[in-house]
Amino acid sequence: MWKILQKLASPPHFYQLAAKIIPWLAVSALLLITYGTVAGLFFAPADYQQGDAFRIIYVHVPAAYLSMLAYSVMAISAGIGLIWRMKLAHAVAAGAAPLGAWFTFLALATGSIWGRPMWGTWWEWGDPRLTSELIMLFLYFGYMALRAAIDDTQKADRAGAILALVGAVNVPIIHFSVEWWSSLHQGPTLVREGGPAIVPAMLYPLLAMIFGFSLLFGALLLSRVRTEVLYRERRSRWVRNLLLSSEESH
Amino acid sequence: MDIFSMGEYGSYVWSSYLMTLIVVVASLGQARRRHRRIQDEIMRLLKMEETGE
Repeated sequence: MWKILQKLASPPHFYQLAAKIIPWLAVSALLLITYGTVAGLFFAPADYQQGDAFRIIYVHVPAAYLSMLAYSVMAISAGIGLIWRMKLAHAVAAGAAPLGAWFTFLALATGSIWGRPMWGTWWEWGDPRLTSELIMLFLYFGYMALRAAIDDTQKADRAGAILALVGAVNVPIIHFSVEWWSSLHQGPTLVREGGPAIVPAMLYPLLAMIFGFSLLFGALLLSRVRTEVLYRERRSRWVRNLLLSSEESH
Repeated sequence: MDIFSMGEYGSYVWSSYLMTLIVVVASLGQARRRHRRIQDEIMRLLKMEETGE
């Protein structure tokens, strides 16, 4: 098991393997997201309270879910990198950050657009869910800025990892905020006692979107980690051979 | 077309989906551009080494 892991984590092997996996993830993501978008926009029945505005959840929920998943991936990888000095793990953390920032931005933007007609406001400063999600956006920015400010990759890895781990406390706060404090934000619909509180015609497109966007995230993450690996291994023989041989074939 | 008007919420629903599309395209483009830039950068270094030798 350890040997297989080591082989998988070897940079040239990872680089080649990821290139093979990415198209499959991307195509499955495209299919699921296409189905989810069409079914969510046109075939799911309108919500009896929220009318058609509820259709925003098909993009808002996956974005919010991925904003937290990306942070978890970043913090756990950073932790693994810190403890076991695994370079690939640091590359994963570095690759997850900008994606997490994009999805956090999207969750905030779509939530804000939904909030305007439903709550009567674009933004509510006192709300714990909204505020903790915004803090996460700043944590991503902080992580990226810190990395960018340190030239030495190993030092950047370590400093970034500590920031990522300290900030990880925010993830459960976001998750439980709607239960711990009174919040404008509605409580959980999918994962709750008694099963999902949503009819199948609304549920399936949502699951397809969550799953599809997760696969898209997987494809983007692998692609970004490939770039990281290439940069980190820029002085190695395999990168040299790879780039020079691709140059010749052009 | 009635289904496109989304009741009274058309502008909110469509702007959310448009925003999503923009974020997806931007994150794909960003990842792609970065990969190209890193590749070009390493290539330049390799060429410099070659001419230096």
